[in-house]
Amino acid sequence: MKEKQSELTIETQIVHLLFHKYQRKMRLPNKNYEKGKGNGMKVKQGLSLGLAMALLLSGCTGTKQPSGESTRQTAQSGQTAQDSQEPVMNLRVYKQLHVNLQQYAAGNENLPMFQEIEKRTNTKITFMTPPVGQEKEQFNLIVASGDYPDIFVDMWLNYTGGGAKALKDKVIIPLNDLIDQNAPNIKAAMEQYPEAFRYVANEEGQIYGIPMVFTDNMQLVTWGVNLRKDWLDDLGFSVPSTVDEYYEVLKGFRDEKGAASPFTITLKHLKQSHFLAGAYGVSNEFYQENGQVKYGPAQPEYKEYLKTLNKWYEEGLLDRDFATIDDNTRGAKMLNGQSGMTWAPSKGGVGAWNQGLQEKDPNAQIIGAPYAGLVKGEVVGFGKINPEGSLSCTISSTCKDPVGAIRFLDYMLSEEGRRLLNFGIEGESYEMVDGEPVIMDTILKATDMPVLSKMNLYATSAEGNAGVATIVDQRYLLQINEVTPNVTEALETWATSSTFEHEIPGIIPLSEDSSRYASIMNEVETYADEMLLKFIMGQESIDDKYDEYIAAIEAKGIGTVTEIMQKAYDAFHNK
Amino acid sequence: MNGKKVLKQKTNNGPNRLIRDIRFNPSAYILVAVVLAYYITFHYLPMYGVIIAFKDFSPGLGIMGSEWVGLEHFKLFFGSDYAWRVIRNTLQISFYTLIWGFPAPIMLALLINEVRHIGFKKIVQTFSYLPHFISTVVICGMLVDFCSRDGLFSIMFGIHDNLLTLPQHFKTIFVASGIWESMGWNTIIYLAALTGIDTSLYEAAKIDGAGRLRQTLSVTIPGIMPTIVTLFILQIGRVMNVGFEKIILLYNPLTYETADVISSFVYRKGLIEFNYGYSTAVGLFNSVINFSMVIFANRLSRKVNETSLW
Amino acid sequence: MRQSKGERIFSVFNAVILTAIVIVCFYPIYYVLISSISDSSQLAAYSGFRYKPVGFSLEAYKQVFKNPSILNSYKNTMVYVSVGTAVNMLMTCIASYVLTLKKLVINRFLNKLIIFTMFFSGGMIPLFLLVKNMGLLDSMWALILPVAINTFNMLIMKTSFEGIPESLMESARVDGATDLRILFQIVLPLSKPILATMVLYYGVANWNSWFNAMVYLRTRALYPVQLILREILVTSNALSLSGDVSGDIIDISKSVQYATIIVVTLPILLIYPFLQKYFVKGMTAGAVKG
Repeated sequence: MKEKQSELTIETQIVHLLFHKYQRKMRLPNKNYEKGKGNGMKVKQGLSLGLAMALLLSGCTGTKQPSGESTRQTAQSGQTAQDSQEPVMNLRVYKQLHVNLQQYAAGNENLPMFQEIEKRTNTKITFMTPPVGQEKEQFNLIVASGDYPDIFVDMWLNYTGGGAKALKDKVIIPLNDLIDQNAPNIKAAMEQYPEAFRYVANEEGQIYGIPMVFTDNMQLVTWGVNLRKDWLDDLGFSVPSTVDEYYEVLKGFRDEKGAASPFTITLKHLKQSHFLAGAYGVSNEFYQENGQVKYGPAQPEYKEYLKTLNKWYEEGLLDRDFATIDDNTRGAKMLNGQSGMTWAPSKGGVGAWNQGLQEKDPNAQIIGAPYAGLVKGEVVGFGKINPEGSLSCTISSTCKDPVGAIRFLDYMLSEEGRRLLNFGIEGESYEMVDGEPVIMDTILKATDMPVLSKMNLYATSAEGNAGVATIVDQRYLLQINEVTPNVTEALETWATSSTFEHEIPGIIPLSEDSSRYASIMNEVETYADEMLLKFIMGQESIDDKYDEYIAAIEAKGIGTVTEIMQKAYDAFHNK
Repeated sequence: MNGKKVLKQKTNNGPNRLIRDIRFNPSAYILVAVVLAYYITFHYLPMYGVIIAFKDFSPGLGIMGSEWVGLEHFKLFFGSDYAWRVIRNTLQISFYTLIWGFPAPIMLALLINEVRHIGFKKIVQTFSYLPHFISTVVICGMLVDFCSRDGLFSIMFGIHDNLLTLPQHFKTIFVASGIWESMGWNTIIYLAALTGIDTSLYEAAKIDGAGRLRQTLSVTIPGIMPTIVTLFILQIGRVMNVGFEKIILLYNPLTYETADVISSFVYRKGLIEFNYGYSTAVGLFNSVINFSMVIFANRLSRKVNETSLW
Repeated sequence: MRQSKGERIFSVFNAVILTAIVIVCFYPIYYVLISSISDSSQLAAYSGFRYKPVGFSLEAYKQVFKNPSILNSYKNTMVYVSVGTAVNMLMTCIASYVLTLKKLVINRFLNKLIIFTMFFSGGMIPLFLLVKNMGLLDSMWALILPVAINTFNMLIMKTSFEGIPESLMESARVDGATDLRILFQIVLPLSKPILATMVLYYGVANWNSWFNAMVYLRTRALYPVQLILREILVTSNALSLSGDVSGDIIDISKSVQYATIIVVTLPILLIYPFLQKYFVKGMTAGAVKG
C-alpha cells in the first residue's frame, strides 16, 4: 500500500483522502467486507484514480464528462434501486474497452453506462481492461496465471476449447443452480430464447455463461458489400445480385467512372466475407451441407470461384494491391473515388462513408448490396454472420460471492437492465415518447465525436463485443441506424440475400482435438492462402495446377481436421 | 617452494576459497549479492517455466499439474512441412542483417567522427537517430505505401508491380529498412567508444607521417575494436530472433516463401490455438541455437584477440 | 590546419554522403509530420512520395488532444521513465563493475550465470506468476524491477569499465576505499561517455516500452503513453487481433494515427541535445591512459 501511495499524484491523494471518509461509512463488517478487503484497496484506488482523472481531464481537455462525479457520490450515500441497507458489493470485472471508445473514454469506469449500472446494482466495479486490440494475448495470460476477476465479459472463443473447456478447467463455474435460485430474469430469458443459451452450454447441459441474446437476424449481420448507388444510377445499372451483374457493374466503374480499383478489399476481408464463393456453393472456411462439414478451399467448386476472382483481377476490377492494403486505405479509396465497391460494416462503412462522400458530393450514395448468386433471384446460403454465443458473461471460480455476481448479471436481463444496456440513461441518451424509448438528438446529431461512439458511452449492447450480455432490442438498432442514410436498408439486404444456412459460426474443435487441429490447420492455411493469392493473381494457372493443389491439401491432413470439426459440429447439435 | 604449494592445496578447495575471498573483499561481495539477488529472483526463479515446453500446459491445472508430453511439441514443429523453410528464412534474414547491418553504423560513426564542423556533426547525429523513434508499425505502413504498384520504390526501381508481393525482394526490403531504422541509433555506442581513444595516439601517428586513412586504420579501429567485437558476439547471439511484428506487417501469403520466419509461423498457429507448450518449445529451440552460436563466437574471438565476453 | 588535397576531397565526399543520410533518416519523421496535418481522405489517394501535406487540416491534432487517455498516460510515462532509468543505471553500474573484478573467486561463475540468462528464460508465465506473487501486478514496479538490468547493456558497460587502468583502482583500494566508493568516485567519473550512452539507451527503451505494460497492467489509468499509441495504431492493420468482422467499427483515420505519433514522440527527440555534450571527443581521454 505504501508503494502504491507514492505513485498516486497529489490530486489523487487528495481525492483519496476525501473519499476515504465516505467509504469507511459504507463498510459494514460481514462477509462482503471480508471478501472486499483485498479488492477494496484496489477499488478505492481505481475509484480515486478514475475520479481524479475525470476531474483532471474535464478541466484539461474540455470534454464534457457526463455527470460522472455526481453519480458516484449518489452511489456512496444515497438511495439505490436495491435495498440501500445492503453493503456495496465489490466486483472485479474483466472487460474490453470497445474500439469505438478508445479515443473518447479513458476506461470502462468512465462510461456513464457503467456508472449507472453501479448505482442501480449497488456495486463498485473494478475493471480489468486489456489494451485495445491486444485482448487475446492478455486474456490468455490472465487465465493462465490464475489472476481471475469475478466476472469475465468476453468471447470465450479466444480460449482454446471455448467456454466448455474453461468450465472443465475450473476457470469458471457452471451457472445452472445459481440461475435457478437467484436469477429470475435470466431464467425467463432461457425459456424465451433457448437457442441463444445452447451456445453457452456444454455437452452435459451445464451453462457456463450468460450470452448476448440476439432477437433479429439483422443484429447478426454487421458487415457486407458496400456499393456506390449513384454510380449505378449514372450508368443505368440496377442493383446487382448475380456474379455476372457484378462483373458488368465493375467494368462500368472501371471504364466510365475512372475507378482505378473498382472493387477494393483487404485480404482478410476477402476471406471472411465469402463473397462470390457463396455463389459457387462454397465458403473460404469450414461450412456444412446437410449436416456434413466441409472445408471450402478443398472443394472442386472452389476452382470456379478462383477463376472468377482471377478474371476480375486480370481485368483490373479487383484492387491490384488487395494483398497488402489495410482497412484505412480501403476506406480512403472509397472516399476518394478510386473504388466503388468494398466490404465493410453498416455504420462504419455505409453510414460513415455516406456522410464523408456527401460532404463534397451531395449525390453520392453508398448502399449495402446483396450477396451474389449465380442465377438471378437465388438466395445464396453463404455469407458472413456473427457467431452467436461469442460474447458471454461468466463467473470465475475465484469469485467469492457468486450469488451476488449472478444477481448482478440478472439485472442486465431485467426490463430495466435491458433498457439501460440498449438505450442508456433516460434524460441523457434517450427519452420516453408515447411509451417507446427514443434516442435523443444529443446523440444522434452529435458533432463532438462519431454518433456510434457517443451512443456507446451510454449503451453498447448491440455492438458486438462492446457490450454486456443482455437481450438486444431491435428498436435500438433501427433508431441508431437511421442516423446515416441507407444503413438499415443495408442490414436488411445483407440479412435477406443470404440464408446463412451453411454457416457454422461459433463451432470450435473439442478440447481434446484442438492441438492436432491447430497444427494441421496452420499447415493447411499457410498453403491454401499462398495458393489462393497465386491463383487469383495469375502466378499459377488454375486449370493446370488445381488438382495438384487439392492433392497437397489432402496430404497435409485436411481429412483429419474435417473429421475433428464434424465431431464438434455433431456434438453441438446433439446437445 | 614446496611448502607454499602445500599451503595452497589446503585452502584451495572451493568453499574455503570463496569464504576467504569474501572476507578479503567484503565491500565487493556486498555488491555481488545485490547483483545475484536480481538475477536469481527475476531470471532463475522463473526458469522452471522451461518445462512447459515438455508439457501440455493447461491453465486450469497450472504448470506443475499439467501433463508431460515429452518432445511432442518439438516433433510437431519439426514435422511441419514448413519447418525447414521458416528456419532457413530466419537464418538468412539474420545473416543478411549481420553482414550489411553490422558494419553500417560503424562506418557511419567513423564518417561522423571525421567531421570538423561541430554544427554539422551535431545535425548529422541528431537526424540519424530519428528513424529509431518511429514505431515499427508506422515504418511498415510507409513501406507498404512505397512498395505498392505505383509507389515510390516501384517507380524508382522501374518494377511496375507491388514489391511486397515479390518474394525475391522481401529480404532486401526487410533488411534495408532495418538498417535505415537503426543505423543512426547504433552509432551512439561507437561514438562513445571513439571518445575513449587517447588523442596522444593520433599525435604519434601523425608524427610518423600517417594520413587520415592510415590513422583510421591503425589508431581508430583498433581503439574501438573491443566494442566492435563485443557487439558482434552479442549480435550473433540473436541469430534466431527475427521478431514477428515487422514480418507480419510486411508479409503476405505471396511472400511466405522467403518471408515466413519461425516467429511469424508460430504466431499464426497461435491465432488458431494458443498453446503455451508449443511456443515455449520453439522458443527453447531458438535459445539453444543462439547460445551455441555465442559460445562458438566467443571462443573464436578469444583465440583471435583478447576480447571476449567471458 | 592545412589539409592536403586528398583530405579536402574526402571532406567534401564525406559531407555529401552524410547529408544524404541525414535526408534519408529525416524523411520518415517528416512524412509522419506532414501526414498528420493532411486531410485524411485525400491522404490515401496520394500513394507516392510525400513532400508536402495533402490538403491541410489540424483536425487530427484536435482529436488527439480530446483523447482522455493521452494526458494521463503521458504523466505515467514520465514517472516510469525517470524512476525506471534511475534503477536501471544504478543496478547496471553495480553489475558491470562487479564483473570487471576478475580477482574475485566468484567472478567467472557470475559471468556465466549472467550470460546464460541472456539466452534462456522460463518464459512469460512463470515470470508473470512471480510478479503476481510479489504483489507487484498492476503497479509501476512490475514494469521496472524485472527488467532492472539489461544484460546486453551491462556487458557493453563492463567492456568500457575494463578500459580503466587497474592501477587507479588498486591505489584507491590500498588507501582503504570500499568498492562502492571506487565505483562512484573513480570508475563512474571516468566513464561519462558510456554513462551518457546508457542513460540514453535505457531512457529511450523505457519511453518506448509498451509490452510489459500490456502484460502486467490491468488498470487503464496506469497505462504508459506508448501503449495508448499502440492501441490507436494497431486497430486497422494486420496486428489487430480484435479486427474480426463481428462488430461495427469505425476506422481511425490515418492522420489521427500520425498526429498521435507526433504528440507521443516529439519530447523524446528533444532529449538528445542535452546529452550531446558528453560525447565530445577527448574529454577525459588524456587522464585515462597513463
